[in-house]
Amino acid sequence: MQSGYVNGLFKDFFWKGKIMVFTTLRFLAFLVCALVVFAICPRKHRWLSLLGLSIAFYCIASVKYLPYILFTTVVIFLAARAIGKTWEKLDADLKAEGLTKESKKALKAKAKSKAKKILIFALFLTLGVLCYTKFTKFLVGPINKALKSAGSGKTFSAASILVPLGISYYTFSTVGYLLDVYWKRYKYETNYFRFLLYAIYFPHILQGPIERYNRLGQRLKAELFFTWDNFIAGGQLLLWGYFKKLVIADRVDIFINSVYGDYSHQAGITIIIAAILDVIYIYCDFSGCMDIARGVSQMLGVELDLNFNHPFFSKNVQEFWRRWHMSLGGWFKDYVYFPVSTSGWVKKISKSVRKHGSDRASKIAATIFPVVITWFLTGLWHGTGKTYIAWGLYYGFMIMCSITFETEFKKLTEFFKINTKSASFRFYQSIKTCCIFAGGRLLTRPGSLYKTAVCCRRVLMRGNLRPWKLTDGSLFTYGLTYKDFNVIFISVAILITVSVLQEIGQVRETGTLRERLAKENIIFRWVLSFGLIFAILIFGIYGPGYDSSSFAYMEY
Amino acid sequence: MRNKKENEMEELVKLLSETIEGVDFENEERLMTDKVISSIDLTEIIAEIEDHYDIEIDMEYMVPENFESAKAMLNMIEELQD
Repeated sequence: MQSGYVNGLFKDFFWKGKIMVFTTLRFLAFLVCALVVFAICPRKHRWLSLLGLSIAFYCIASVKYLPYILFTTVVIFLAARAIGKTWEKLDADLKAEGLTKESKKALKAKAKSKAKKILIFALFLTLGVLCYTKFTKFLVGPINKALKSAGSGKTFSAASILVPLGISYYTFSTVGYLLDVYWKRYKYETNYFRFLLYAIYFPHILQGPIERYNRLGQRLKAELFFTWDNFIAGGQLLLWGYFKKLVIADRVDIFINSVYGDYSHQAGITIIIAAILDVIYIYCDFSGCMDIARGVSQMLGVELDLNFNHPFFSKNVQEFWRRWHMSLGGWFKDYVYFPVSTSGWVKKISKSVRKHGSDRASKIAATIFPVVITWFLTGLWHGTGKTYIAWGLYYGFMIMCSITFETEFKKLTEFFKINTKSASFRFYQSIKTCCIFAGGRLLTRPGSLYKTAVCCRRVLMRGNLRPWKLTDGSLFTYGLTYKDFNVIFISVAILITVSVLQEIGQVRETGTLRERLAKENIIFRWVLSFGLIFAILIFGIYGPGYDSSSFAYMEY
Repeated sequence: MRNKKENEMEELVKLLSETIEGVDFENEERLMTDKVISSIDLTEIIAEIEDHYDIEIDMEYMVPENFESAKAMLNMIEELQD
């Protein structure tokens, strides 16, 4: 290997960008230091070493980000404490003798009103910061336009608005904690630094998962062990994540960028191939990142929640969203969908529809508002442009169709005597789920709704499908060679095989694939691990000139 | 002689079975954990229980443990009626 190449590699990976993206040598160097610090630290104080390391990780990205996360965590910590103390006082007051039912009711109402005020104030402050940092830059254009048309020379700059690292993730995690304390699901935290560690913990600050305090907070509170088993199991997961990201995601991304970069001249078949590869890209990019995050955390003796559970094996779009980005779906379900669907106004509408219509109409009425609101907000979480709002509404529509026509689908399968439990039917369901997902990606990936419309038009345009482009070598003119396509094909085949083995293990309850691998003999395990390392080193997309700048979900 | 609790349980199972078809509410003990009922089913169950028993199920009661089985739901209803 030439020394220039090595220098370039190090220069690129050490100094390109400030954020320690998981695929940089900077991050690997940080991880080695973190493991050493964690291992030599006395067991009792290991959580403090994790707090110090996490703050360092955050500050390396930018010290300017720190006040934002400190503000959010302090506000939520104090608000949760005040609400928790209100509930404690209420419990003590209710224990007093001689209270009538009415006086108990009055005490409860008073405490609830106080807690509600604290909750609203804290939500206003923390969600206000999130909205300001995320949405203001999209308002700058229209505001400047309005100022210009009004004859004012004053303009605002979007560049001055700082978007702190992981703000969506830590705001959602901490707001979830506050709501749980408000709903008396568990007790409030009394130590601010423990709470800060939960929010800023470095393996999950960049892209989640959006952990719940009663799970991650408790795991971080328990005695933390540095063991060989955890190190190896975490390392395997880390390697698997790098394989998905560097060998598959970053390779197919070259093709997709090239196709959508010149979308107005593409053949229909090329756009279809790009859309299919985009599904593979986003899955390998995001789930790969989650594997790295969970692997790093496991090395440190802390388990992070599963964020992906083979989503493409889902029967329908609802199940898909229970298995894809599970922590975000779970967050929206618990803190948006349920509060909206059980709110008084939705119940009123549902009852009124039932009075004047059928049970089915009432069910649709009770579901449509929570589903649309949840998906509109999920769209906004992903981005503030029209494309993401359209994306959210697209899923809201798909889910509503699935609920509304559930009976008809059932009757149809019965009429045609289709065995819905057969492997072929499951395969059809998986393909259908992939197609719906690809449709959603097609709304956001090209960059604008106009570009999406042009892409669709080029697919549907008469005579523009040009299927012969599949075999005439045209596909090799988009940045990927014949060899690259072979690597993609073999890697995806490995990915599907592993996913099927994992799914079978889950269904038969025979343990995870890694647990089963741990029972294999040592030579087989080392061959697998080194095979993975060499596959990443040989086939991974990295090196000087290559910008492994970020993961798709890091910008949220 | 059937006791009061058994009658209440029978009434609840009947209500649940009428709300969501095809689920064995009498014997199922892991409705939430095993994802036997979806979140949409759950909101329907909540609406039916609130209507039938004239109670209000606050968010603090909306935890999976309270909806794992008909028995868990009955315990929650009794607590809310007190």
